[in-house]
Amino acid sequence: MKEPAKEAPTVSAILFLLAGPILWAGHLLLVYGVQSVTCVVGSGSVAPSALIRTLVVLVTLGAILLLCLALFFPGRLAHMLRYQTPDRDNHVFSVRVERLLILLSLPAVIWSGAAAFLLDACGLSR
Amino acid sequence: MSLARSVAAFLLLLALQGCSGVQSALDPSGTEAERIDTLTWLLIVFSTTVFLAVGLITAAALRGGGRWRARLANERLVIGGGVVFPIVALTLLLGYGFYLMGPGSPAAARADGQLRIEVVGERWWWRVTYVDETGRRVESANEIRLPVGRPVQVELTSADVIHSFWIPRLAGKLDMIPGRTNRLTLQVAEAGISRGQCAEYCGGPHAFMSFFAIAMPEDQFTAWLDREAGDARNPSGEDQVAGQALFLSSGCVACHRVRGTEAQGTIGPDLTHVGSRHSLAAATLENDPDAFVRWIRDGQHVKPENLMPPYEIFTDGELRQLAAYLDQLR
Ligand code: HEC
Ligand SMILES: [Cu+2]
Repeated sequence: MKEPAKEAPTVSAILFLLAGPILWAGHLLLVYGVQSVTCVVGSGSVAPSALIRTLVVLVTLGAILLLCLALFFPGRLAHMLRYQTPDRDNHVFSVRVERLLILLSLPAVIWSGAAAFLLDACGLSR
Repeated sequence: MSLARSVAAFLLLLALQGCSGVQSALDPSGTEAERIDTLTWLLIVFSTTVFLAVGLITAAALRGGGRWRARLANERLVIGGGVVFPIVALTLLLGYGFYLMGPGSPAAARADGQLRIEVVGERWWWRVTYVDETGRRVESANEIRLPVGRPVQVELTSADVIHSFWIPRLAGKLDMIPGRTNRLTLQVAEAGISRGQCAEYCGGPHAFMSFFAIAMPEDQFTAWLDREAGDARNPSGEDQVAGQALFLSSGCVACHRVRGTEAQGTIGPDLTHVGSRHSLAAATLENDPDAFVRWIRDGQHVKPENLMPPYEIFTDGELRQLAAYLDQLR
């Protein structure tokens, strides 16, 4: 039997495996938050659509950067999250799951960022 | 047939009944509703397929034995089904969404400079004003008439609380918000009648806040609008004349307008052509003399809490005269 102390904490495991979807969710929250708040507050005076586009681009680039870091340096991320798996198979498996989910999240982040350029910024909120 | 079977058959019939008819989104007759209908079926079929596939895979993994499990654990299936498939499928769906909502979309095609209909949600009826190409304003209530094949811009707002304007056969629903104007473009494909319903709870008789949308061929519509723009017809028969006198002397004029008479109230629905409408009191009653009588005497039972006071002062004869007058306002 394994010593329980050697098992990585569950929270770390979840954060590590779901790094992609978590960043994706955070990105979505920021994009929608920025869009709604700017539309409500800036009524025409600040040219909200230009402002919204800039903010969305910044948030999206930030999210892409983080996702790429997590994609290319899973070891660093695991270390940061204190996600140690002594079992080698287990480690390989975790990294692959993490990477696949990041690959799924990257297009999602890019698409939701692209919406800022394809749609009228405040026109459809009603 | 056993009881359970007959109950099931009855429920199925009820459910099917809900799929057609004047107020069904599954029986579309307008451009936007057709788009919604297509998207609905697309999503239902797509999700069902994915659901069944995942179910089958799960069943195979649980019961299929080693060989199936090995096959399912294949990397290509994981990457193909878990990454490539969702990316392709969702990208297509998103592209379609962008097309529908974007600037080049059919929905964005504004009916500028053409017929406009302003609809104001009131507790618990609809104030309807047609504004035609020349800027002529024609006020009506509790019914919407539309020319077939021509996009019409509908401008929605509210006089009191939030209501929601929904004609399932013609378009999606859109809220009516005080101090805000929401725009909707309606384009009807064929002549016929559809039913609309307030779709945001707005107090007591909310459920009785409905209306009919009547689509008619272009020439008939133009003729109708010209007639609707005119003043009320003068009563001719004895009963009708007596009814008008009652109408003008009983306080109705404080709330109702009948163009061409002294009645110039604006609190309640315009009654200039009330007799020609498809229904009474926002699609609560049919439109015939008996219904007028019921409405004036028993309005608070027919549509509890509505904002027209009940009139118990009239004799049956007087009620008949009033009804005769209102009924000929066509
Ligand atoms: C205090 C204002 C008020 C007075 C006075 C009043 N009404 Fe009304 N009336 C209303 C309102 C409000 C409605 C809309 C009720 C609803 O459908 O919720 C209405 C609706 C109606 C309708 C149905 C209209 C439609 O579009 O279907 C008729 C007919 C009518 N009233 C007739 C009368 C007659 C006849 C009198 C006088 C005996 C009268 N009203 C007096 C406020 C008033
Ligand atoms: Cu309502």
